[in-house]
Amino acid sequence: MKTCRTCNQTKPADAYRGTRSACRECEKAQRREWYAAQAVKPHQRPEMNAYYRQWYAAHAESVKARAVEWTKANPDKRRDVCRENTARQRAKLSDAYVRRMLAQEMGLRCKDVPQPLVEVQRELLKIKRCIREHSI
Amino acid sequence: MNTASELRAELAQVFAQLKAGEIKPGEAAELANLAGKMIASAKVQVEYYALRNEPPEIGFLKDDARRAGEDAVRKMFGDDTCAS
Repeated sequence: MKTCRTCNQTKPADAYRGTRSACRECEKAQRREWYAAQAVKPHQRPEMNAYYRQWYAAHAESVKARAVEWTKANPDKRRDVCRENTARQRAKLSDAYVRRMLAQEMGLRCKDVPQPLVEVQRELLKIKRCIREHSI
Repeated sequence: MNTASELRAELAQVFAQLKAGEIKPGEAAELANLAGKMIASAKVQVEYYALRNEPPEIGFLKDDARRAGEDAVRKMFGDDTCAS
């Protein structure tokens, strides 16, 4: 048994990491507090972004293969994820959603839809939604 | 209103006015209808270039900075300078 220097509670030895003076729960709370205080999260730092890009470039094939495997193994979860993503994109009128909508209307690929057209269409959709809300 | 970004700015203003209740939904609907026509015509142009497998050269969809640059070049060197 050992007393935590942070919460002053006496806990068994396995509640501590090695010879640390703070128990696992207190350490976890400290880490969470520290993470919440960071305006730019560690994974959002430019150097990490470069690292992630580099890592993905080296492992893209295995990542894609695993994603395909997971999709085959979990079709229901995959459908739910897709629905959630689409609903979120629709609510936010994200670039991807507006671009997909335009591409479907025009019978083109998403990459063929110019960005200025996406932006102006988004503003138009915002107005149309607002008008619909007013009329209900 | 010569470019998509100008139209976007105009629509953003209409949206803000509609939200604030400064214009009526009917009036906003008319403006949205007109903007829809402009966008539809740009869409036809995009489709045309896509069918021809050519990169789109649509003045309406060019960004303002590039357009302003081209206008400046035209003024300096004549009308045919940017026609590529």
